[in-house]
Amino acid sequence: MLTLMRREAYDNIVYLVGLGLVAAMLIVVLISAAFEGMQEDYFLPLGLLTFLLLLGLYALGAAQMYGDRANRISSLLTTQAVTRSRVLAARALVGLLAVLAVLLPVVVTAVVLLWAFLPPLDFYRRLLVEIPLTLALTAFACHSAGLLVGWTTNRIRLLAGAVLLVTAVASLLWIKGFGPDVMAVLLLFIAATLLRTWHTFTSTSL
Amino acid sequence: MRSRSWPPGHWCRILVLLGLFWLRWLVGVWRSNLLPASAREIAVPLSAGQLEPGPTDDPNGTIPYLVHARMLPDYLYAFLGVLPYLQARPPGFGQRSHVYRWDPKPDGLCVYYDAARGQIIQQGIEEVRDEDGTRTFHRFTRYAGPQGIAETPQEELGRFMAPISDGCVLKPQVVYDRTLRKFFAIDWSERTVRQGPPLPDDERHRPVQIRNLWRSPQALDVGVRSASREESHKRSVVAQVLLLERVLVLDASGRIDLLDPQTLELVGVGGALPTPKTLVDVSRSRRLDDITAYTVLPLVRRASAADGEPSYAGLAAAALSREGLALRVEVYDPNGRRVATGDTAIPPHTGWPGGRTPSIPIPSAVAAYSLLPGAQFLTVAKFVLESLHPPVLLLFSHLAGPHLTAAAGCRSLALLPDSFVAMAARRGDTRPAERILLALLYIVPAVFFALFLAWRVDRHGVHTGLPKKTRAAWRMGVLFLGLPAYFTYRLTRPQFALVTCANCGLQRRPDMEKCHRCGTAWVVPELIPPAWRVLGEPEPADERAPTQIPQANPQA
Repeated sequence: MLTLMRREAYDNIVYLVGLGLVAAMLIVVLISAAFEGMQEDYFLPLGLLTFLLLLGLYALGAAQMYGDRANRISSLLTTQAVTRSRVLAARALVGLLAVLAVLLPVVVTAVVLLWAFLPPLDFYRRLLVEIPLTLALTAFACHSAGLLVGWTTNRIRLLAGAVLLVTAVASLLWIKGFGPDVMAVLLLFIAATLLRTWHTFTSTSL
Repeated sequence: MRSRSWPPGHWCRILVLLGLFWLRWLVGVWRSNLLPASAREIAVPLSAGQLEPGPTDDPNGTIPYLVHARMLPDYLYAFLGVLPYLQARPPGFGQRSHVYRWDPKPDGLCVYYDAARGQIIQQGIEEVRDEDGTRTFHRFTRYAGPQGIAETPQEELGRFMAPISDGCVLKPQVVYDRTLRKFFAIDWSERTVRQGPPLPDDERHRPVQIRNLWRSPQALDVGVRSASREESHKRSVVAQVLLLERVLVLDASGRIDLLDPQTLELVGVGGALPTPKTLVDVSRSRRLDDITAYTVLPLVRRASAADGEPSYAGLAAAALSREGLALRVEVYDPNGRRVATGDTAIPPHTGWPGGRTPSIPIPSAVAAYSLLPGAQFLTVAKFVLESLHPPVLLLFSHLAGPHLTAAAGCRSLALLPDSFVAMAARRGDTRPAERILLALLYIVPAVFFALFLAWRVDRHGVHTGLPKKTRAAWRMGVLFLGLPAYFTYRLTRPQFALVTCANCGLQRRPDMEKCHRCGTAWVVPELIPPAWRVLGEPEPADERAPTQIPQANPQA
């Protein structure tokens, strides 16, 4: 499994580097916002960078599946001692690790800034759990959507999926805010998307 | 098929509900934009002498002050999830925060409730003058419990269990504890804590907010302004500072009580939150949660030369309805009697191209649904969009919708608390049976639409030869869940290359032994290997005649 995951990461290194850059920009904006007194001017760049992050994770998922469909990677791998379920699990785990790797530095930065500029963390402990967890689930939902839509050779479908699904998932966050109810909806979405991808992926002929 | 289609279909259902939500939201924004500026604001004149000292019996006296309220145009953006979440929780700002004041500067003052200790803590830097006149600054921390204030945390101070504070650091800071059911007055400078008598343990008194009474300030702008001057003159802050003799306390029922900060007793009723005039009459079933936004301003009569003290002169309360289409202002005198009211409305004889000209004022919510240009189209669009919603969720909206808060209704995906069906449940002018009948009438189109979709799904199922149980499950699913379930079926339905049945001539599945339409088995021609022959040549004799078995030689 580790070999599969390493290979997945290596094949899609461009997307991972891009996501890292977006995370770095988010951190810079957060720091400058904290020192400037969190003006409303910073809401727009923060929102846009978050949307870019979601789009990047969708692109990562779509690239993983699109590359497979185009180059028949899993068809080759199944001739070895690897099943398609394991290949898909490796892809999902790489996406999950990418989400954590991107969001953890942002969350740590935010916590340090809050600790420096606001009251003791006890007062917003719930905030610090709900917001990162909801963001992580949203990001993983976008990656799962990429895995679902990426199993195609139709580029128009890929682009339409990017616009529709990422906007829809991001709008879910915009509508419901952060908290347990939106987390439940996102978990349902992730489970359904991964299950659907698994059905499609494992039942495709060699 | 069922087990493979339903769980993965959730993603599709969520997307369809999201799409329907955004369409409904767009219709709401469009409808809100129909209201002209004159129907978005109210100016209620205060009676002469209510705020100014002097003779008050001059009926022809000029109106010195107006209570001016206006709904802000982008309120529908403001209630979408993220912003209310961030506004309600951050320390120092949110209504749900236990940080009453937080100044991040090194010498800033901080006041907050420490739940672990059960005490309210004040931190800061104070100036101390020594006997020789030199000034020194030192950092202090004080702990306040129900029994007093100390420099160190002590058990003897007692514990606040579930405090509600006035949120500002006026003198004294008023705290109500929902568990102890008492009001407390914390005077940080005198280092005393006073407590009032316990409230009766019944449902009549459930304080939810003290002194600054507001919700969702981004949706509503309220102030008292001088009628003679054009510039807006907000008196709320001034009033709060001046008003030391009464503190406003909002009850969960919407009643506004008056608290005497000296005795810490409720000394009377100051008024109530208004119920805006909406499309349906909800006056009999009004609740605090039915109001999207409210602001209450205490009115203070200025000090006269005779008495020398400002006095409580009543209050002005403004409230915004669920959909944000109606605003109402009520003014109460010091005795809690309503003395003036105002509702947003389309003024009479207002004409516009393509619209009817009303001869009487039309409430803004009613006008936005039927009178203004484009309003009827939007009403039909709203009804059509609600009819595309799953019928079972519409039914639940009728049952549970009225119990959901107005703000939650703006961001609800599954239940529709602002739908016509939920409106029927909130009607106060009808009997329960009539409300249910009305709701069923509203649901009928959605049911017919779901029946149509179920028929389509069933027809396709018959066409593709789905088993009876599977078809029944899909039929029921589409009947209850409507359009989302139909889209799920369309995206997950089995795909077969059908062939023509030799018996009935209809399309049949090649992977089934019998035709699912007529039940005929496959007429499979017997596969006999062709006899090879070379044309134009005589056939070999051994193919025309049975093989001759060589006779055994009798002589052998």
